[in-house]
Amino acid sequence: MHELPLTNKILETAIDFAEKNNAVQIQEINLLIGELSDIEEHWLNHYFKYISKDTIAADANLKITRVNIKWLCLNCFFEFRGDKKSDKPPKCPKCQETKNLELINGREFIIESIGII
Amino acid sequence: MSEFKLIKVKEGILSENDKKASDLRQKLKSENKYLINLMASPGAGKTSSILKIAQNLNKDIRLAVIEADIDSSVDAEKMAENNIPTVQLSTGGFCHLDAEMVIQGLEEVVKENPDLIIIENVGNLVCPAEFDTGAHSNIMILSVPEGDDKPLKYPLIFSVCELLIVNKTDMIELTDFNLEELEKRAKKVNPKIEIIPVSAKTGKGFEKVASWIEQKIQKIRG
Ligand SMILES: Nc1nc2c(ncn2[C@@H]2O[C@H](COP(=O)(O)OP(=O)(O)OP(=O)(O)O)[C@@H](O)[C@H]2O)c(=O)[nH]1
Ligand SMILES: [Mg+2]
Ligand SMILES: [Zn+2]
Repeated sequence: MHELPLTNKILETAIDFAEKNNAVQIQEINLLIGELSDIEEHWLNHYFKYISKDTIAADANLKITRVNIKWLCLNCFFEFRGDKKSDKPPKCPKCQETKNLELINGREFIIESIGII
Repeated sequence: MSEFKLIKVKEGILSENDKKASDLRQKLKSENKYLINLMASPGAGKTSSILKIAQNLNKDIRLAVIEADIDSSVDAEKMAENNIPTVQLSTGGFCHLDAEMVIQGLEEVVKENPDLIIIENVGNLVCPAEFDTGAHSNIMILSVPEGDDKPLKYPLIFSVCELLIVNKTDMIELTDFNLEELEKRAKKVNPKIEIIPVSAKTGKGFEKVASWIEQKIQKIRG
């Protein structure tokens, strides 16, 4: 799986921002991950521990917030939340559109912030 | 002793790749080249389907293929036997292709001045879906023996594909695969997805796939 290259990228970006802010240690990394992403929290943490050894991010806590699925109706421009568990296709609650919908949230993979000292 | 500070980063982990991919998409468009990223599980019929697409495409369209086999050149050899210009990318055990690898592959195949380039991505329903390759269209193949429940298990890949090819339909009677059920599940994560059932064994349905691709090529040429 690709958790390893992604974890490398997380570490690289976090250290880059930390150094720009004269940090001596990174204590936490806050991630936003879309509900549709298959990223495994367990592996992310596992690889992170491994590759962050001997860096200022060693022992940093990876905190993951999942982002809900959100659709934009291209017919009436109403935004509404999707339900990953429902077995019904998405439908705009305002104009009942079922086809012209765009996924605007649910696929993200973002470093939101880092906690440093 | 310094104190704890929270610093805003707001950076996409994949933003570098996304940027490269979108630049590549623009560049190819300006050169009238259409790039397709073909994704599927191992053995779903990617190579067989590309060969059938090649047979059904309008003869004026020059096709080239980028092969991303993990550790062999079997598929690239099949393309060569069929006189399709192909570059074999060695992914070195990587589970997906990213835009940078595609750019490298393209350097080789553009020498043949293709109108259409198809990437046979690494066989995997998880990782390739996360990485934008710079393709104008993502196409996915799901084969009948894999089951009609895959959109429930791998929603991301279904959400990024414009076209879903259902392959090995010659075997459908032997299984409990339900095309309507599949359609319902796929549309749940991607209401716009188009579905074409095919068999790379008998060739059935590939005229539809070829004309779908031809229309896309027309469109990009404006
Ligand atoms: N019955 C049947 N078999 C098929 C069909 N398409 C492909 N196959 C067989 O499925 C096997 C795998 O086909 P490939 O085209 O090599 O699949 P692939 O996705 O390229 O496989 P990898 O590159 O190894 O991941 C081969 O033995 C094909 O002959 C089909 O429509 N029907
Ligand atoms: Mg193959
Ligand atoms: Zn609406």
